[in-house]
Amino acid sequence: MADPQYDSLNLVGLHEPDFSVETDESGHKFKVPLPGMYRIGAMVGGQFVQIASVKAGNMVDSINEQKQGSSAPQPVSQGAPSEDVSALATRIAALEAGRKPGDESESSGGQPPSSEPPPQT
Amino acid sequence: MPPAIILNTYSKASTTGGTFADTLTANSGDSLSIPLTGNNDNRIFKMWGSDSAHVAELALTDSRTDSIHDPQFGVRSNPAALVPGGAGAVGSHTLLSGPADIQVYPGDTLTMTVTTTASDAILVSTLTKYADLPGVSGQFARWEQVQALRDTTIGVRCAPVASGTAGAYGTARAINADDSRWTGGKYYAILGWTQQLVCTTIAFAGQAWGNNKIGGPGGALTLDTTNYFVDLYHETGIPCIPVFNGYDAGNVFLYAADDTASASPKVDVWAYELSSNPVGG
Repeated sequence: MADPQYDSLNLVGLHEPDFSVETDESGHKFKVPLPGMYRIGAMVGGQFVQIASVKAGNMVDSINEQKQGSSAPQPVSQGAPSEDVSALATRIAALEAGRKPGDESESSGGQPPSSEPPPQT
Repeated sequence: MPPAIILNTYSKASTTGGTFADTLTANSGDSLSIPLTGNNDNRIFKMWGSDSAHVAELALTDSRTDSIHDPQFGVRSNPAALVPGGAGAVGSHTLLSGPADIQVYPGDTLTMTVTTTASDAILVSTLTKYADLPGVSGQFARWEQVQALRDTTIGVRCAPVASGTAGAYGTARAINADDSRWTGGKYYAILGWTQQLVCTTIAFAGQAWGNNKIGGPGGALTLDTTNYFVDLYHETGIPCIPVFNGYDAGNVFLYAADDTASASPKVDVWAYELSSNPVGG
């Protein structure tokens, strides 16, 4: 018998940045940020269950090009392809904190992405 | 003169889109031209590629009809970029794998045109085997030589990052940049590699190998690459297991090329430490 307690799920996305360790001319190591991965999944009982993951490189480039190419503000809707990854990260953080997605303001898209690692599945 | 296997990659970062409307260019250090060889036994025997977001079609042509049927569309092939797992999730799709091959001749220039969707990134890599390539005297061993001189086994992290321009090679990553356990004076045979994330092409190059690239696909469909160079030797009979001295580790480089900008596949190189140089020189 299927358990119906998680029959209403929110689709969420999570940007997981990456970095490369490089060495400068004096031998010092430093980190160079990389686009990393973008994970798409559902929150099930507070746990992130991944459905798909894509490399974020081209997506981040496209988002940046859209931002640069359009002076008009872009509409933000949950799961829309044009949604900023930082907005989605904020949305995930809100979900993990137990708030409803609708409680957050649209202005949260300008906040930096969460530095927390994705929930383990 | 020695036989050789050379990797070349061709790409375009942002296509115009349309029916064979875009032409791929050779990545840095690579070439669409067939070099001067001692005979005509030159064969493209592996080819793979990927489109970043949509289905695509490749037309490979050669001006010489002894090689490829005609110069209109030549050999058409499809990177099935949407399966399995969706665009951007697979890394590479096999377009050609033995025993079929495409014979090419010295002085010829290949042309690769593609049908894509606008703004896609697409890249195609080939392995060409030459029976007699003058000028190349790379340190490549046979599996039997490697086995006979095997000392220890080692796996070493090296994390090349693909270029910020999708399809192009990223910055060369020295094989000791992330893990420096190679021992100076010891010889190592690179058998293959594993990786954390899919990537269209993983390439190796170094002075020990005439600075020519050798490598293979890093896509989900061909991720069993721990013994890649050993398998390549068994398939071709050409000594193609790269050998280098630990002192030279800073001159052995890995490259990544992918349909996604700045992809970081995180490679672990699988190698045997050898008791001496299996190929002399």
